[in-house]
Amino acid sequence: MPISSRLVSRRTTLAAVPLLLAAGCRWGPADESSTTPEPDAPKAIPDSEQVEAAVAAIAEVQDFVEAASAKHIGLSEPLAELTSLHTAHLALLDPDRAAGTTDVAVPGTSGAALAAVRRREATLQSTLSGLAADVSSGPLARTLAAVAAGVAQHRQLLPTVKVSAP
Amino acid sequence: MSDTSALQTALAAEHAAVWLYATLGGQTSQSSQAKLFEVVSSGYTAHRGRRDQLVRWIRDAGESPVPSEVGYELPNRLRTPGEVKAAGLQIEQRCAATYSDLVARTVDDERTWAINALIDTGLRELEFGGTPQDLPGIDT
Repeated sequence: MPISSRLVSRRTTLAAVPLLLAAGCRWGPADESSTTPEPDAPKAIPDSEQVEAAVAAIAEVQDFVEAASAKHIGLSEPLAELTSLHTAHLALLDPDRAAGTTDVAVPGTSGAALAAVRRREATLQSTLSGLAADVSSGPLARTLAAVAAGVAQHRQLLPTVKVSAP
Repeated sequence: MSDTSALQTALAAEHAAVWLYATLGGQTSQSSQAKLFEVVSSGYTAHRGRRDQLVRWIRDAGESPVPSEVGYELPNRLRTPGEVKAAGLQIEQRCAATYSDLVARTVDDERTWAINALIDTGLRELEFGGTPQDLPGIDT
């Protein structure tokens, strides 16, 4: 599977981490690991690789959902909230991320495309949960866990469509 | 190392959830509200299991688990299925916020468990008529 061309640069991802940590502090109790790193030492920022991985995973699924919506008009409405969700999560995790487009192969029937969306969302939920477990910052873990929970909720409400024969 | 006080807070929330779910079950007809009864029964079982797990962890850490209160204040009246659903939704939203905090204050297996609990409570919110959120446990 091709990596999304919208994968953010390391510079922008690193820039987002202090923002997330600050947001995490605002949402909950203080955490020792949530101190703001020095701005002139970005490589010392903890958890930047996990944030970068989360953004890449969300962007890749977002690309697929948008491509599925574009190819199968009947899916555009059922997938609209999912698209909005991913957009909101990407804005949270990487506010400076540049938008782009990617060529994504989508199944020829809407049923198969929807089934593929379900699978990718399930994988994304699992990936985000794993990243939340892996980060050193508690507030960041909470944010990533909430992102995973949001994906789970929206996936649960996707319509069930009988997959057409190939 | 996980924050034991966070585990105690989560346990207190689960004590309340188990008590409230038992009350919801008593107000829900298995025959005439089969779907709702199933949702309430499933929630009761899940919360009781989480309560017991939290008790084990706290004891393993050498502390005494916080006890359950004698009773809890109902979120609202429970005269209709709609009111039972509203109460169930509120219970799950409170638990989601609790587990969101627990994720931030735990590590390793306990954090993974808290993440799964947060996801589960988010899904149970939907069963009680809740709407999906961008950040369950934080948005609530």
